[in-house]
Amino acid sequence: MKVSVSHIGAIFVKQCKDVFKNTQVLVLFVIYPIVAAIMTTSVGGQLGQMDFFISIFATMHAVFTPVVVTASVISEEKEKNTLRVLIMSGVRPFEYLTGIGGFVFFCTMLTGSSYLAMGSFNMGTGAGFLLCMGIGCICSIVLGLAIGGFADNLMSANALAVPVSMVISFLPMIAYFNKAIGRVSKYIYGQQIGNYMQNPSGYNLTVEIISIVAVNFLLCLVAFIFVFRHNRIEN
Amino acid sequence: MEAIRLKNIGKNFGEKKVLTNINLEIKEGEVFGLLGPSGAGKTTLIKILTGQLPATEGEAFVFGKDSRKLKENNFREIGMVMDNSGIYERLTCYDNLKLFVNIYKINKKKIEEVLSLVGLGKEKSTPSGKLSKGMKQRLILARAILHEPKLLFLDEPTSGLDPVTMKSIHELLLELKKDGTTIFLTTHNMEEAAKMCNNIALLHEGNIIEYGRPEELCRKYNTENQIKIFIKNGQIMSLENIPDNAAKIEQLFKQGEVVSIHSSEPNLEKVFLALTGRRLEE
Ligand SMILES: Nc1ncnc2c1ncn2[C@@H]1O[C@H](COP(=O)(O)OP(=O)(O)OP(=O)(O)O)[C@@H](O)[C@H]1O
Ligand SMILES: [Mg+2]
Repeated sequence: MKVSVSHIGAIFVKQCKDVFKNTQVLVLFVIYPIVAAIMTTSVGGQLGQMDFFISIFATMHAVFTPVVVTASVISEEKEKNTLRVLIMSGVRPFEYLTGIGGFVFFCTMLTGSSYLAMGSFNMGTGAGFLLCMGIGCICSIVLGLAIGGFADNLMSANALAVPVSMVISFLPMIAYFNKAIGRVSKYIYGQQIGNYMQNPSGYNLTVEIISIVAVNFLLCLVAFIFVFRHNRIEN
Repeated sequence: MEAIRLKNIGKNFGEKKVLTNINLEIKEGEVFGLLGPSGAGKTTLIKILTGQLPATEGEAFVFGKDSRKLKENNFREIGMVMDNSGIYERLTCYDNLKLFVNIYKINKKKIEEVLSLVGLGKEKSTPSGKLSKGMKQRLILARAILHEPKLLFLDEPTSGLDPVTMKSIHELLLELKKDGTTIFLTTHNMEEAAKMCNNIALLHEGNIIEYGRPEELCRKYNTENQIKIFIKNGQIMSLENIPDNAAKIEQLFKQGEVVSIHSSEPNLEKVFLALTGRRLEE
């Protein structure tokens, strides 16, 4: 397969310009770090758990934001017919998806790294945090691509992406209080990300965890491939 | 080599036949007009030609290449204005074109050049969502000609535009025609077709019912063969176009009575009406 790096770059740059004019998406990238910072500085200390809010909001940041942004960007381009124009200009679907996915990854990690300044991380746990967020982000982007490719317009994409990513990213928080949910939710990658974020220093990576995340990623990938095999992107 | 060749193209949507047995050749450098009323299948034919829709029957070739197999380097030679072409409404006119400059890897100086060509020089930094309808249409046209394509598909490029904008687009297209660009144009507007096109085809219910040069078609359907003379006293004289009437016309001229002379050659609108019993705008 031939791939043009300049096509991917063009899409990436276009998306960067667009995000500054698209408040809805811009807010999604910064909202969780800001809320986490406020909560951590105001009440975090009193609870005696400095990093509790960081773990909660970093999980949201790694799951909710990339799923919703990716799905809405793609579905909007389908709805407004700009995707068609790109494809007719010789941009291959793979290049387009990489450009958009790359953009979402870049922005998520850029604003996501601000958590490092809020919490008590050292070199090791900080690197682990970023790796963990990166893995969560990639799974979420693939899921977002599938949802965006499936939906016909922005509204239906959001109607699907918001509840799905809510469930995935909220579970760790609910499981924190309800152990019964934890037994089920551990099979969802959002929970595994949340687990690490809640306790980075004493974290134990097991084969089970790796397999769970890998299976999650594969499921997202299968959904994505299914959608694009059925050519929802090219009508 | 011809720019476009259609062989026995047919298209059904489910049970519904939209195009039947379309054969067509368009030479390089030609401006071709596809005319027909709403729902005739014009957009469908463009979509088949640009690989956006598969034909049910027959074959379509663009520069000798099967239209279902068009690749990146083929799209490089094609520009398109479709009735649903999208623009990035939050981005400025400049940034909308900048994206395509990056995709086509051409010099970004071209952006300003093309913007002023379509009369959007002043709107360079305006978000394209804030443009009027005619301006949006011109931006879409600017994008279509940005990479100097050899072949332009224009699906009703001037429909719904004011006469001034329409005229400026016509001038631009005639300029492109002079430079040798092949243009495939669809329109409801007979005047537009007569002014721009080397050849036209009339599409009616999925069939090409007439094909030829606009003047030729008009002459062919010139059934009345009358000459109308507007005279000074406000009268209109209608004379049959036969040698016997020459003296009469000469006399009127000599008396200085003639305001203007019109042949009643049918325009394309009348040709269409004669062929189908329907008006184009219906
Ligand atoms: N995707 C589709 N599915 C089913 N029918 C379709 C589809 N696209 C077009 N048609 C039908 O095909 C016929 C021709 O449509 P087309 O859009 O080609 O007409 P047109 O000549 O471009 O009309 P207009 O001048 O209004 O743009 C119409 O009757 C339309 O309803
Ligand atoms: Mg049409």
